[in-house]
Amino acid sequence: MDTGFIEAVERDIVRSEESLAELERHAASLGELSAPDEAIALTEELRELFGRLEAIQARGEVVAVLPICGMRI
Amino acid sequence: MIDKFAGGAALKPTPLISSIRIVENEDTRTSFSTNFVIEFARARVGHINAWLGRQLEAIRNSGRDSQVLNDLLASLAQHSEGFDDAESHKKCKQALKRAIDELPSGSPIRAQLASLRDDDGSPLNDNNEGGRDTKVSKADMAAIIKEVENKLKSVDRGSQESQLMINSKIAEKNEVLQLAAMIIQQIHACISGIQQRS
Repeated sequence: MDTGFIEAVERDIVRSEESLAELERHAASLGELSAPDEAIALTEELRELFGRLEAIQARGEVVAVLPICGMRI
Repeated sequence: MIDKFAGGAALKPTPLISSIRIVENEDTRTSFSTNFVIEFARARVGHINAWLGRQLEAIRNSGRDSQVLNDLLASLAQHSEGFDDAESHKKCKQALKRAIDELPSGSPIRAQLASLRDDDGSPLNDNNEGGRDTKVSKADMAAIIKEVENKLKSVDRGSQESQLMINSKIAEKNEVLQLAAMIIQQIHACISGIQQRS
């Protein structure tokens, strides 16, 4: 048994949970933001990022559909 | 205030998307937080981590099966030339029994090894007691060893395939986390810029 591999995966699970928690803290610190509807058009860069997320989601199960860009999550 | 999809369809808020809403009033505004990205990341990371946990358990089981089969092979290899004595026959059957006993009842490898012990045609059939039929030819031993080796290869191959899938899923998880962080940053920059201009 490759115990080194197993331990590395276990560490990755812990690390990703910590990263997620850090991300949540960061997002919470930003608070809610708002802007005029017309102005909120997504930038190309943001669209590209959403597209990459959507591509990831396409490989897994769909949880919901985001209204602002039709992204399936 | 009416919550709805950007396309205009009525939206019943859900925990996942309630942070995104279009507010209808004189100056229609879109108000949202980065919660939906967090929800996405949480859902995907949680899903992948749960999957990883199951895969690790399978790899641990494979490692145990591999160890048992290697031990059995080492014992059988000592009699690879075949034999015609009760003592050698007993040792081989004991090694087989030990291997079976070390595996949990639900293990497919255990069931496969049990057939070597239980099948009437098997040279290591456990019913061959009392000095009867203790002769096992070199060819028969080679066939038994080959069968165990094939099981071992199958177990090791499965474990290697699992590791490849795990690496792929970890890469996907990292990509999700990186993208989520970048999107949150971008949204913040985008909205902040709009707020500063207005």
